[in-house]
Amino acid sequence: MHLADGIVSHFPTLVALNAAGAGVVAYAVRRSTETEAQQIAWAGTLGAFVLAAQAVNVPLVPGASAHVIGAGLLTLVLGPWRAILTMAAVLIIQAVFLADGGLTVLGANVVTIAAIPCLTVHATRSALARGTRLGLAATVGVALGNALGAAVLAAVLVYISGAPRWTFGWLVGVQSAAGVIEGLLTATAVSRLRRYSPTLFERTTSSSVAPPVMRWALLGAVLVAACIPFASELPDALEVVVTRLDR
Amino acid sequence: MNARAFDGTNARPDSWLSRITTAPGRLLCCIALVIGIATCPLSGAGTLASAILFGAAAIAIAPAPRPFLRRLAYASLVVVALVGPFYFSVGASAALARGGRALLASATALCFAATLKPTELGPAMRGIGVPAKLSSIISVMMRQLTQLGEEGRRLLLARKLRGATGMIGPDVLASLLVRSSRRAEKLELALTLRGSAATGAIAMTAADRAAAASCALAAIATQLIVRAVH
Repeated sequence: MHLADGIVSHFPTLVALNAAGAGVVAYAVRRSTETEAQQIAWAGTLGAFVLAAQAVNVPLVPGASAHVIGAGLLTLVLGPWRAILTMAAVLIIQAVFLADGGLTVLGANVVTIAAIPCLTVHATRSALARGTRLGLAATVGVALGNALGAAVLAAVLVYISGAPRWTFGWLVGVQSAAGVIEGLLTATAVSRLRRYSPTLFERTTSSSVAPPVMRWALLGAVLVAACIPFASELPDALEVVVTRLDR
Repeated sequence: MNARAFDGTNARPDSWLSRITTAPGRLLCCIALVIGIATCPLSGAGTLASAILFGAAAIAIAPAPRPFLRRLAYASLVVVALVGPFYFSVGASAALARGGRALLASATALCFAATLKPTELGPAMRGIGVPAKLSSIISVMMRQLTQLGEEGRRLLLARKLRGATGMIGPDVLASLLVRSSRRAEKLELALTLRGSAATGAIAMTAADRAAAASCALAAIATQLIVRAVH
């Protein structure tokens, strides 16, 4: 799901996406409040695991393969802001050493692969995971987060870069399917990690109390995702008027 | 993903550019040139200008051909997947031009990647002003990645000796995850005992600033010329 250099060339869009990505990272730096050693050790080690896991591409549908994103696991273990920082570090390493993703679209990738999935998983956990329903929160949050991230990426490709409209449905569909599988894998990983270290997920519990805005954000995200299949391909009113004026 | 990209064996510290600049300078040069190429107008002149910028980077760095081409082949798969749909909306030639531009940008980034040792990335990021929290995570990640690769290889070998196939599956990933958690606990203790977890920065030199400014000027000049011709 990485956007590469040179695909989006509309300069204001590039500036806006990179500013959004930089803003998210700056805010995440401010919000990461754990001690330095704790933060860096866990984020660095789990980030390396996610980087390795992203290398495993599996065929999903004919003509397309997918890999896990890892934002769900990181969010549940590290909390949303450290998870965003760690995902940003993963994206930087991929862009610099592998040209997977790109330097000019790093901000876009931070928004679609780090911020949206991490915050969606966090919102889902806040809304659902009271007590032991962490697996359910992982599955739903990862699936929803992947679909929303893909929807934003597809919107950029279709409405700004000029990709055909079917790209939107294709990308969102494939990533949603991948998200469901990743969600189940994340739930399995969470249960394994809980067996190994029962206190591991308590570190982020204090931040999992849902502020009302997060619940509303989650509800909004679900509604947007539900409306995507009903999007009309007909021109809007302004486009109709402009077309008639042209005649 | 190419695991050898992270073991440092592909780095070219003997290149002309590596001798006169340090890692943060080269990183800034890379960013300037890649922005220049990725935002070039899609035209014959734009493609030619992008190719010239890439050519200049390739001559200055002279990356080892085999690892460079291996990584470029991987990057080109991503480019083809992204550019493919444009064939149906903008036509073959425009899609090809877009793909060519994306590939040249990726190739330029990979040229510069060949001048960086994995352990240099974190300090280099810190040197260009990236927050310490982020650059330290990058440094730890690069060190842990090598160990993770070794553990993964040992795990696969052990499975093979027990008669299983050498494929990476969810069980292998789960084992690696638990081992990663154990390592994170040990590392957390070690960093706490050491007193500081922050990565040092590689300071930028005058040569770095000159090189970065030259690359930025080259990118801007190319853009202006191409847009004038366009």
